Amino acid sequence: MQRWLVVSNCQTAGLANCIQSQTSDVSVFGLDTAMFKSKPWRMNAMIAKFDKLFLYEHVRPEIPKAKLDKVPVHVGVPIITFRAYHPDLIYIFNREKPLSGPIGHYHSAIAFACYRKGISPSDAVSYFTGTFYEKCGYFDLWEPERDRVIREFGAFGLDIHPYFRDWGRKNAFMYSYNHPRIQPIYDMASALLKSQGYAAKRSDAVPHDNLANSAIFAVYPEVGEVLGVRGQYEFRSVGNYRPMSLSEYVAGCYEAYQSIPGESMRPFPEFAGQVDHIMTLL
Amino acid sequence: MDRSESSPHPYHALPEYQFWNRSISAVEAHLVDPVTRPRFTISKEARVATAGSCFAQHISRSISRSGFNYLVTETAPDMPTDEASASSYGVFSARYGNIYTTVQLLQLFDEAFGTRCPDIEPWQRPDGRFIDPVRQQVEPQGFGTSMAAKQDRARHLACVKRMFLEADIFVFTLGLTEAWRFRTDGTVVSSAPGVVGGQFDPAVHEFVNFSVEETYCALEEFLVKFRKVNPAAKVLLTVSPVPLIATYEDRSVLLSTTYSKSVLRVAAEKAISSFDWVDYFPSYEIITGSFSGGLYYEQNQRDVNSLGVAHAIRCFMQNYADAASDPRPLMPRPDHDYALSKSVMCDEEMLDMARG
Repeated sequence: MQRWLVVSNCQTAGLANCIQSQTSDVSVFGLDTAMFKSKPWRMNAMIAKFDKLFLYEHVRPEIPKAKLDKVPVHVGVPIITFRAYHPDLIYIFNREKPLSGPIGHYHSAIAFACYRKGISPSDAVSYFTGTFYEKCGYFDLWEPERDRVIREFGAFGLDIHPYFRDWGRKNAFMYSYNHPRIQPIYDMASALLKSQGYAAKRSDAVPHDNLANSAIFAVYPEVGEVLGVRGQYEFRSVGNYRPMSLSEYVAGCYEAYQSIPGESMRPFPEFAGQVDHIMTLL
Repeated sequence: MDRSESSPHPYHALPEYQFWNRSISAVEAHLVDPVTRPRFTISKEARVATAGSCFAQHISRSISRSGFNYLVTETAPDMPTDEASASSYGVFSARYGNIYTTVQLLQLFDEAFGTRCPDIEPWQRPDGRFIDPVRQQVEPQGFGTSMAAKQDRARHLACVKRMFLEADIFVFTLGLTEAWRFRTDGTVVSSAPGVVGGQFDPAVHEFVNFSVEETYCALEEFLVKFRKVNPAAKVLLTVSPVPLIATYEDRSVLLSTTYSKSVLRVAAEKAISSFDWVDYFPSYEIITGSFSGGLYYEQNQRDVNSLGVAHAIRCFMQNYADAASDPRPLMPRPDHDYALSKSVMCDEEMLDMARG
């Protein structure tokens, strides 16, 4: 039986589980960067035993000591990212490293723009309205994002178009920009198996939704309504099911920003235009 | 020669919206838009009036919140907004409450223009207050006397007349075919006698389930008369997707719902075939279509939820709002595909959780 190794970001475990659940013909193992770093020697010894590596290339710099090239066959895989449910979610640099806030690296462009403008946390919360989101252009990301995701998967030879239509049918299929629910991962696994010449044995017994206890960024209700799903101002930090309100989240962001010199913080380049635009609206 | 080249079949080269697999099953549910060729658009200045069944209230609210010139001719006397709303002021363009059938609409029009004088008296509620039988729930407190109810109706009818004369666009939602009416002159009441007030008397009141012909005849007659008093007005018809709460027919309420909605949809279709200034907006199809899988209903499978209303209103705005209206702003887009964001790795705590 072939042994497959999956090395990706936080989607690793879900993807490995989903591939395994759809075939009995191969044995699948997921290895994320933290797991490798915890036992590099033992992991390198294990890596050499696999026949095929499914690799999200961006993780390679995170584990430079990993002897991934010992696996004879490499297959590049993408990750699922999607902004339409969370158009306000951005990343911020703190001295060239991603800045952490109340829920991991996820920040609100509106909250950050308000902070930069010297607006108080309580006044910042008043900008979280449908009218303001419309001015921010938050309601029109679905189609460009859908096309991007399908195009990115297509570049890896994966056709997810048939699955995509149903992903948002009952609820938002993303917990954040890069944390999907398990169903899209399951469908991605089906596409991967197909691309490798294996039939995907799909069933209702989908592996557990392993990112449900990850950092969760709120789907703002006004944004959700436009996308056909119910949203709510409920944020969650990693491993903590306690819901965090919008006010609490914004206050937590301000607390983080106040501890850092202003000149050290800047949005990732892809979000700089968005933050600048919001600042003109405040 | 290839047969398809010599004689293409009639469906060859038809637009995508005529094919289910291209315009419905290929599209994400919230993006389905069955409006293809609106007959008119609505400018921000156009005076828009609304009437109809309970679903029409959603349309009224959305129109008034979306920056359209929502025409309200019957305004509240000096009272707090919530009290005014509870007394049905502003719920529709005039205080007629829900108008479920086309016959009710025609009767209201005729009464407002003085060509119909129903021979009915206000009903008394168990608490001694009085109500108007054709709009039983517009005044929750009821009227103190029968005379007060009559005087309010006279004021109301003047407002209704002004609405029909001043509206540029009249949006009407067809709701039901089942109704109760007076045997004497056929006046249709808004709820069965005895439910809100009055007393059911089989010698005085009767149940009616209007046929296609009766439903359309009333609608047609209304449209002709409305056009005569307001030659420039346009009419937008919709059919309520809300199922019947109860049927008086001795059969399942589900079957009665299908009958009722089918009749109303046919009546609307006949109207748009006959009048080029009348259009049909498919809110019924948007909410009930199989593509939405029932997701647009509340748990009781009857009330339309906010997602369904939002979908219908999105389609309405996209197709009927004048193109000159303010375009929606777009978010500044990066010229690359979030490459840096995709390289951000979750920290070890997160990865530990994800593995669990």
